[in-house]
Amino acid sequence: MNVDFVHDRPVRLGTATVRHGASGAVVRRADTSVEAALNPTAFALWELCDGDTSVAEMVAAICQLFDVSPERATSDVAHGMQQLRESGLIS
Amino acid sequence: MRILVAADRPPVRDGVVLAISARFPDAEIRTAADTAGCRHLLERWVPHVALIDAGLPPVGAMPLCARLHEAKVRTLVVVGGAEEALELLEIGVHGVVSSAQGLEGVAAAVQTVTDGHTHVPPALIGGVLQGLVHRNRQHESARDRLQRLSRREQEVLALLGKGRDHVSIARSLAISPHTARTHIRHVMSKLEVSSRVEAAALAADLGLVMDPVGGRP
Repeated sequence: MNVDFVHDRPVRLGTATVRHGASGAVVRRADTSVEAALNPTAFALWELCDGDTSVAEMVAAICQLFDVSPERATSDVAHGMQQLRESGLIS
Repeated sequence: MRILVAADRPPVRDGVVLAISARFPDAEIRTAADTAGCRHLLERWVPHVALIDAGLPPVGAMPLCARLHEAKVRTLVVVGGAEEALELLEIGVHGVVSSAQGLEGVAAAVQTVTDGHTHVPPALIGGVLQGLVHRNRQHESARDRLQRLSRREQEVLALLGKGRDHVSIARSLAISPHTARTHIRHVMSKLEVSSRVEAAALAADLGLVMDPVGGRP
């Protein structure tokens, strides 16, 4: 994992439409038609990708909310970010 | 397992009790319609889990949740939005639930907090995380400003936090009232606040009010 990962400030790409469902949300980029089904936490992380919020801030908030260790939260957020990047939803 | 269900509207309360009974058939469930009823009940009966409506009359769930937290009761609150959810989670409730989740969802949330996890409805996770990020930034900024204070100014702030005026502060620190006022002005300037009350509240909010004799807590 990139050691500078936690300092990244990921940003959502393009304009997106969101369809909420029982198990999460489907995000669709209007410009590329890329579509991804996100679980609730992944969707929340996507919402936090405003180019201003760092991964470290996301990790801290996840730790506080779900009372998990920083290591576990860092791993979960890294995984979520990787999925969002591979889906073409964030840079 | 003992479960407290507190909501003022009988149809809601009864529906929740039915849903919880279905999931926890052996549970002892007691109900209350307001905070007074809850307090009366808690004097002689301590639940393992409490499900409280955030708008419980007459004053809402917040004070009751603080008491339940002290009693180590796992508490779940029915909320309307992310801001309210964040306030409750910050005082130690174990989960929040939305009425939009339905009775089955509420019962499932009771299961989640009973199992020792935090429950937040999917629709509120983003808003709660955003709120936490915002508050963490505010706290970090406030901590940075507190670091600018000299030892003497920290002592003055500690006394401000106890509601003392400049005359009383001067007496405690064996300085002149004029000097106390100067310190207070410097404290307010360094903390970037516009009033003594705001300065004291900021320090108290961070848990950083120092003991004027012994230094930092």
